[in-house]
Amino acid sequence: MAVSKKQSDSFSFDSGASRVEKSSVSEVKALEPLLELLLDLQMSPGQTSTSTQSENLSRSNSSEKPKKATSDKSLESSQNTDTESKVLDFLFEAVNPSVADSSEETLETSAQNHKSEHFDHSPENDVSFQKNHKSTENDQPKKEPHKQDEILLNSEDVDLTSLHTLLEVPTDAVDVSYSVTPVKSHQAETEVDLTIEESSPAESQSDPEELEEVLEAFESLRVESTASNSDDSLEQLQDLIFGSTRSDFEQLKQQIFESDLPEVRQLLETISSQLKSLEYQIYEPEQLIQLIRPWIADILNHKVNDSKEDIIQALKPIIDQVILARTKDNREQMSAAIADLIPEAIKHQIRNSPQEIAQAIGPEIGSAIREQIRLDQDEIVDALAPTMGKVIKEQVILERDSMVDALYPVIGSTITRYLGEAIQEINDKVSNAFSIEGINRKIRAKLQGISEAELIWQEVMKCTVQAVFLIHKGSGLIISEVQQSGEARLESEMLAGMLTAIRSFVNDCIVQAEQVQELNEIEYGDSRIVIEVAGYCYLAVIVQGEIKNKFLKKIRTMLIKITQKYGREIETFEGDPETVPPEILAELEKLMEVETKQHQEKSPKTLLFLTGIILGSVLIPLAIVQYRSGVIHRVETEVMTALDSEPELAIYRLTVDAQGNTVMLNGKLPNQRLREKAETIVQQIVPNWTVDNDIIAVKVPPDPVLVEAEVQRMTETLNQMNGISISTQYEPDQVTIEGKVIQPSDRENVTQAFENIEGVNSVVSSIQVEPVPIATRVYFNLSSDEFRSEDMIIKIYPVSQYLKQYPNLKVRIVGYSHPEEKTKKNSKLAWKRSQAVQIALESYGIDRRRMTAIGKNERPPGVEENQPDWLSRAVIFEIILPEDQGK
Amino acid sequence: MALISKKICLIGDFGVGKTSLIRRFVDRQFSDQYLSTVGVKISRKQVDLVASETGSQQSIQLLIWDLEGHTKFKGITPSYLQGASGAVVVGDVTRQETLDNISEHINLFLSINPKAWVVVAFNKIDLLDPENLEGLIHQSSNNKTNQILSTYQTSAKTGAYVDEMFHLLSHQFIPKI
Repeated sequence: MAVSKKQSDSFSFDSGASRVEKSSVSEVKALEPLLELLLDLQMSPGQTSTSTQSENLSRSNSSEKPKKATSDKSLESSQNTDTESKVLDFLFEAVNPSVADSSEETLETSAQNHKSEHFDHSPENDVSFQKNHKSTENDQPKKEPHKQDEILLNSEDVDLTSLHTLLEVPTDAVDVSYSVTPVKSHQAETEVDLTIEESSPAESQSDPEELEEVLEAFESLRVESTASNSDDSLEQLQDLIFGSTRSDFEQLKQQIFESDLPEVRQLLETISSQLKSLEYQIYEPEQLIQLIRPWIADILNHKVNDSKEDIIQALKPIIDQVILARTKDNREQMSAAIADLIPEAIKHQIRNSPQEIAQAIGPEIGSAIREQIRLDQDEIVDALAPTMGKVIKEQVILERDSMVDALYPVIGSTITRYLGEAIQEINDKVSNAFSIEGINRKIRAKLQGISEAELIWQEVMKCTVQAVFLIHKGSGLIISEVQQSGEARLESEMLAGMLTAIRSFVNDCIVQAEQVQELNEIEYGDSRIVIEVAGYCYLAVIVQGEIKNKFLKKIRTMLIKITQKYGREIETFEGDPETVPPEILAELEKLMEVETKQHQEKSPKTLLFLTGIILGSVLIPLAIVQYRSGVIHRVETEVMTALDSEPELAIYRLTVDAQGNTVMLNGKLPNQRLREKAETIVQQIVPNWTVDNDIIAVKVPPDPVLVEAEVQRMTETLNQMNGISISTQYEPDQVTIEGKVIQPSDRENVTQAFENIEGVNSVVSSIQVEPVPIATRVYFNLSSDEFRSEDMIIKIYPVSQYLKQYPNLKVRIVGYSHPEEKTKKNSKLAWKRSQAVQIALESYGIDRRRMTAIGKNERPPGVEENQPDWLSRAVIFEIILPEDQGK
Repeated sequence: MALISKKICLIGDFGVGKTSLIRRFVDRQFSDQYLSTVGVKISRKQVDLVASETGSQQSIQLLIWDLEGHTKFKGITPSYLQGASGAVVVGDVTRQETLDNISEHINLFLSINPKAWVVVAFNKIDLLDPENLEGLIHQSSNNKTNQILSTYQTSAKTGAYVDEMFHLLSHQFIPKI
């Protein structure tokens, strides 16, 4: 109601101006409604002043907003009377103690108060009633103080003045209503700013001149009312101000005063009571609050529109405390209030400065997730599951080692377990024998492709651990180490560095890109370095002897344990041995002991027994085989020797193989005869065995040179035999033999021999069987037929032997004598001599029939006359061939 | 206190004098395993230090990995650099390009070991005239990173600053209480 915009200032101004003009016309008219108003006010007790105010206000409103539809209270000055009733109604409403009203009142009051201050300089009202239609601004201020004085002086005056000011107030009130700034008035308790100061100068002129008229009317009233009580000063003032017109003024005053005094008085009373109540309302906080309350929102609104900054400055010190206070009061509501905004707010913040949000929430995301898990585990799972695979893949690419470290303990045992179970199944199915372990071993042997004996060998063979190192993967520094005491200590740091360098080198140069493979083992001599790799560290175990799989498993298990428990310390190892948990060392030492313990474990009887059995089963057949092979060997040797001793076969290479009970002969011989000969010989040696004669009789095509050589050989061989003296000539295929043999059979033999030579097809033999003459002569003494006794042995005996050698030879023993011995008595001397020899020969066992003894009285052949006599006294031997008839 | 072991790498271009520096430093107290085929030579040297803060004795065992020099055809194997606590980056003052490559080596090393420490060595200063040293000082100031402890002008031949360099690096490894 009291809201009016400044924009209408102009209107008001104009209208005010217009009103001024009109007011001059309707001076009296202006007074009329005023009077009626007063009457009305009288009628409605306690509300008069306000109604007046309201009227004025409405008037001002109307004046200011002639075009406003809402302000149907607009009054045309020219139509004052018409709208009087409306005004009055309006005033009635206004007067009702509504919120608006009270505020209006307060506004007006404050305006009034302020106005009072303004009177000094505001050029608005105080148009000289009488003549100043166009009262200049200069005049007005004069009147103002005048009124001001009047107000101060007289209570009634005060009342009137206050009424006056009240009347004036509307204009200001109007101003006030639409600009909200803190009130500076000391009297006013509201914080409503009075832009009266500002607006009033502008407004003042635009104030409805009607009001001025009214005021003037009042003034005149007052003047009149106070005429009776007039002070000198007042009169003086009046004189001063009104001057010549005073008389008229006085008249008017008189008129009014006389006519309406009682009512006026009553009116005044009511007005004063009203005023009191107003004052009460204003000065009493409670009341004031009530008054102002309706308008607060509007005030604020106006103010914000007007000057945001000021409000902000005013409120900002306490806003946070306000919110806090409210939160303490009622959390729920506060949360609800803010709740809506939060997502938007976050979104904004993310857009503006994403990092901040992350940093803000970051620290607590862990616990947030934990909370969610606590509430509903599946949610998290469902949320993350789709991307888990990719996440792991990415992580493997980014930081493989930590992934390895994470999975290593699990994977190892998973696979081991699975495999173990599979193998166990196989085991169970297969095992049906006296010992599981035996079967195990068999299977292991089969699986490894080595003989069981080798496995046993492994088990029995000692395996020692020389050193164990736990090495940091990246830097190659040693985390922990154990070495065999007593032996020369290895240079552990250097070894670790070297291994690390080699591992890196292999990976960089040899392995395909994108793959990472690990060095598993370095073998040298009968030692080996076993390397087992985890995520951030690796284990290097130097072992001598055969490694058992069980041991490898132990290494792996231990490494898993270490990485699981001390993974963090290992990963962050910086070379300071004091950061290494001592348990690691203990674990490594266990590994050193493992071997010896295991070795001792293998003592139990079962295993010994089994070992024994298997050894036995291995060795006994061996022995048997050995024996048999020994026998065979012996046989073979014998056969070979026999064959070698046979001259004809010696030159030929024959192989003898004995197996089982069979002797196999292999080789090549020139002819069947030899072949059979060989067989015969062998058979003789091993009568109980069968001879498998695989000798091939090879008909070697005769090589002439060879044949000739053979012939030669044969010739020589035969010549060496007693009684054979031959020479041969070889022409291709034909051998011509010449020579002498003693015995006829020899001649056959010789011929035969040559015929037997391979390559000799014909033999022409002109061998003479000619016994070798016995050159021995036995000599006798003169005229004696006795030979010396030693001749018996020296000469006769060999002859006898010779004859024995050739049994088919006959011999003619011819005796001779010297011619000097020729006498009748000695005529048979020669014959006697031969007889003697013959008898001698007989005594040696020669058959008589082979001998013929004759005597010849002549000198022996070959002996001449001139030769010594004793040569003639001889007996000679002559061989007679069997077929020969003798000589 | 127990003997702390640290791995440090010697990196730099081919022929700048890394091996000579090590020989000068390690002297006779090492177990020198030469593994040129695999690209690295590992030496060991124990350094006895007195911690300046506490005054206590501390021995550090340095495992020095002498990496084969970087040439046009062969780069350093990065996996050898892993796990190192420090590095000595060497350049040859008589060859400018080796000095230019120093920052590259430093970057490679620090990318693999972000928390490690670096010492720069301008080697072979015995071959250089004194007036040229000034230019070097300027150059060294270009290479400033927090983790470069210092830049030394060394000569493996005369032994200048070799021990100091390694000692400085070792001091970084003493656990600070």
